[in-house]
Amino acid sequence: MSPRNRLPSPATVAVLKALAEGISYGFDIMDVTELPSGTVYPILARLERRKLVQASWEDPAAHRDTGRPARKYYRLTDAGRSALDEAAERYRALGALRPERA
Amino acid sequence: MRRPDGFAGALVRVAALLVPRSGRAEWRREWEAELAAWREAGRSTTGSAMGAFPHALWLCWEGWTMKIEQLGRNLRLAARTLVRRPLFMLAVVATLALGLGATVSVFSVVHAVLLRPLPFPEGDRIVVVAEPDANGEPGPVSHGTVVDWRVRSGSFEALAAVRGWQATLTDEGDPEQVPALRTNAKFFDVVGVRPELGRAFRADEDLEGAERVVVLSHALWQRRFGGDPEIVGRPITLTGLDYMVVGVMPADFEPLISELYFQRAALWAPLRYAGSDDADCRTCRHLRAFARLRPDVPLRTAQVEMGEIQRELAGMHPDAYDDRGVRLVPLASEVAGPVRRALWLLLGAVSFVLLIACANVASLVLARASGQRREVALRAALGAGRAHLMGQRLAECLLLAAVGGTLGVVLGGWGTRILVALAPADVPGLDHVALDPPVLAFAVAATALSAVLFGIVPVLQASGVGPGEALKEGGRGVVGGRSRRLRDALVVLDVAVAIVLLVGVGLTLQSFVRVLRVDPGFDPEGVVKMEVNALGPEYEEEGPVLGFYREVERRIASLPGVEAVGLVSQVPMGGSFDRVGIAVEGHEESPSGWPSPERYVVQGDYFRAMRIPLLAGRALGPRDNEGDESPFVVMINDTFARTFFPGESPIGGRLKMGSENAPWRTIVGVVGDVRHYRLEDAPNPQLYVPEAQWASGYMNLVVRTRGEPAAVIDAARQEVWAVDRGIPVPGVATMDEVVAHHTARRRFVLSLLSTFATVALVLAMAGIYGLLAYHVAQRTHEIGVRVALGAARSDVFRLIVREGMSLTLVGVALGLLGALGLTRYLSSMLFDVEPTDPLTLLGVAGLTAAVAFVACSLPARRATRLDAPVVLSIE
Repeated sequence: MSPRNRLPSPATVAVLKALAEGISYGFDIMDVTELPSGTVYPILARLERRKLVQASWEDPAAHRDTGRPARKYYRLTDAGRSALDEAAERYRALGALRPERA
Repeated sequence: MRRPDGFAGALVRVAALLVPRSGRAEWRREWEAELAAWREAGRSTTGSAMGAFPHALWLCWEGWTMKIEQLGRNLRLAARTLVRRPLFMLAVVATLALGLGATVSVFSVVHAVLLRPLPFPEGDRIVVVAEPDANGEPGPVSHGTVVDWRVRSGSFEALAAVRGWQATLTDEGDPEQVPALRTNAKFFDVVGVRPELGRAFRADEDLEGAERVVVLSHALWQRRFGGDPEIVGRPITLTGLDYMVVGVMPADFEPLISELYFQRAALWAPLRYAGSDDADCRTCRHLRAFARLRPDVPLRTAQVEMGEIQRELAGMHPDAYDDRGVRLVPLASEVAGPVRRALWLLLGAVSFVLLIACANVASLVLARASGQRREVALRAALGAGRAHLMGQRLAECLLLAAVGGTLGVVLGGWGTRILVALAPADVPGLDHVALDPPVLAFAVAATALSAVLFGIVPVLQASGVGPGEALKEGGRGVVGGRSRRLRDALVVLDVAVAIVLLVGVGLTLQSFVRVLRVDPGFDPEGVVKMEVNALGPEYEEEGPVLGFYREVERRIASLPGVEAVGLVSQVPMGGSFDRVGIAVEGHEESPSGWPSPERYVVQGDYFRAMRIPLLAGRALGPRDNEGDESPFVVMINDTFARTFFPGESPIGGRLKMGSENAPWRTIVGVVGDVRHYRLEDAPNPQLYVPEAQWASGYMNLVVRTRGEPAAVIDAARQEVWAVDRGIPVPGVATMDEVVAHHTARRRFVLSLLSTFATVALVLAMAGIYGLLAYHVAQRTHEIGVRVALGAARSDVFRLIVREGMSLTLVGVALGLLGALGLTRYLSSMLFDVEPTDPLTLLGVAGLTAAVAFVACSLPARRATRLDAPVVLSIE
């Protein structure tokens, strides 16, 4: 099944949304989405494989003073942005469904 | 960089092992940064680190998926590439299929005959317990010995003695001689199989005088008694006596033990020795002993214990035992014993064929690879990774191996059927030969091994050559030095391996021819033999037995087409024999006791029927058959005369047979030696006594015919039945068949070895031809230049042939060296020829060189026909 036809999971949408908001580090994404690392990282890996996100190592100069290890940052690609839009649309449509009987 | 310490760091490091190697370092750096962030935020790093596992697992899964997808792509690409080169593919697949097919069929036989476990529960605990014979082979034992073994030993769960028995079944229908086994109640404990119907014998039924009981085989019960469910408790008539059927064995019970020394038994009856006169005899060695080891007793321990017991027995009865001791042999190895060596030999030989096949395929792949070097180098220069290119090459090999392997299994299936049809009938386990899962697993393993063998060469060759170099070299289509040396080496290997196999065939063939040339001491042509056993209650006295045989002989002698008729207790090469201890008058008794020559009971014109020449004195005749009236006489063979009467006439000499109290017998004649066991064995001293002086109810009728021997068989059988309708006449065969049966194993090995060697030679020659043809194609330009510069056609021819022949000669030299090292494994199959026989070695070398010359001259001729101007203009 092509990724386009499958409705992304709420967790995936949450990660996409966080990335769209400009949050680009794993730890921060977990923080805002309240998802555990074991969920966020495989999602990031999957999105990266599908070219919906792009990863890059931070410039060594940026963290040299802090003494912390270099971080890997993720950002949404154009394909990722449209995938998020499409998913959001489909979730909205889902919410608009009015079942005959509850 | 700071390393995350503690438990979380350890977790990440463990999880990292799952991540594909290529991204592992980066992955760890990412997670170390992540943990640092958690620490900085003052949160539990352990909880976060647990998340590294799903991440790593996903990457691991993803990595494998990608690899498999890549393989799939490579396979599709390989399939497309190969289909475009049908000739190449055909050559590779056919070569592989041939090599694998031959290997699989031989392995299927090896598996069924040598590797199949015995069809008895915990069959590996069953051993043959034997006193070794003169050749060190497990020999027969006496009842007295078996009884002592049973009483004294603690290693066995059960110990049984058996002897063959020919039972005449006269219930319902024609009299039938049924191969049977007489044994003890313990027999069923040794094999670990009980009757499916009724019961086994009881120990008290083994006593002399007990009620006669019998256990039937499933097949006999079905065939002869219609599977009667009420059979247990019913009496049947065997050899004129009533036997109560007490049980029926299961259908899948294999009478391996009886087959080993006698025939496949169809019924089992007690020995009934206990309490009889024979019970204590220690020198009456006519039984075979089998035992089931206790589960906690290893073979070695049992062997040591039995050795001590045997020494004790020898100390108590020094005249009954010599120093040969006792030997325990696992039943499994004894069952496969005689063919074991031959089968391993064939498996070894066929592996050589597979090796040649692999070498040829490697050579083909290599030739193609050098043809593609420019393309490959170009693609490498354009950025294709080495791993990627290698992957494609490997996918091609895999595909070729899979197709070749599948075809090989199909060929192997046919080959197996041919093998089974060719094999001597007495090879045990042949009816279990099949392409079953273990054989298929072997086929897959052999295919994989071949793929590695022929796939690795081009890969080795491809590595270490820079693209620039290949492109430069490729500019003129000159074969790369390294690739060429490899292909040369493969052709040398081909020739060497073929030489080894051909030397094997040469030696085996020479042995076979020499065995056939051995004079057996009698003339089998035109002679037919059949068993006529005068058994039953009416033949308990000597008189009726002698009368019966005399009448049968008289009637058959008068049949048209019969030249001579005789009777003998054991026909030469019939598989049975009889030996007796003797004392020769005037000879000191030797320290090892009485010598034991072969002893045969004869009647009528036996020597004339078999054309055994009379060397001195007279043959036994009617006057020796007057019963008590005639003096006791004996005939001896040449070897006997030369052993006991060197330089003097044995006629008139006297000897005693059997015991001290036996009467002296006068030697009246000397006949030629007869090879009684095998053509290969030198004859032993032999004695012939007249039937009237040693009545035996087990005799073979031997009829020499003037025309076709088969023509008198029916008439002879009718004459036997005219005398007594209740006597079965089994074992009908021409003496030619009896002798041929003896050479069947040799013939089998020889025919297979020659097939393999022929395949090897053809493959090796195809290898030389392919290499030279390829070189000629590659050197078209160079040859064109040579011709343009004035080289004669003969020079070109010589150039190419010299190249092929020099490789051939190196291969021949290496092959001869290899043969010298390997033929000693063949020595047990050889007869009258040394493993280093110079004639064979030279002949094989000459033959190979001659065939190689033909293989070389074909491409060389093509090279001479090249037209220089045309070649150069194409360039």
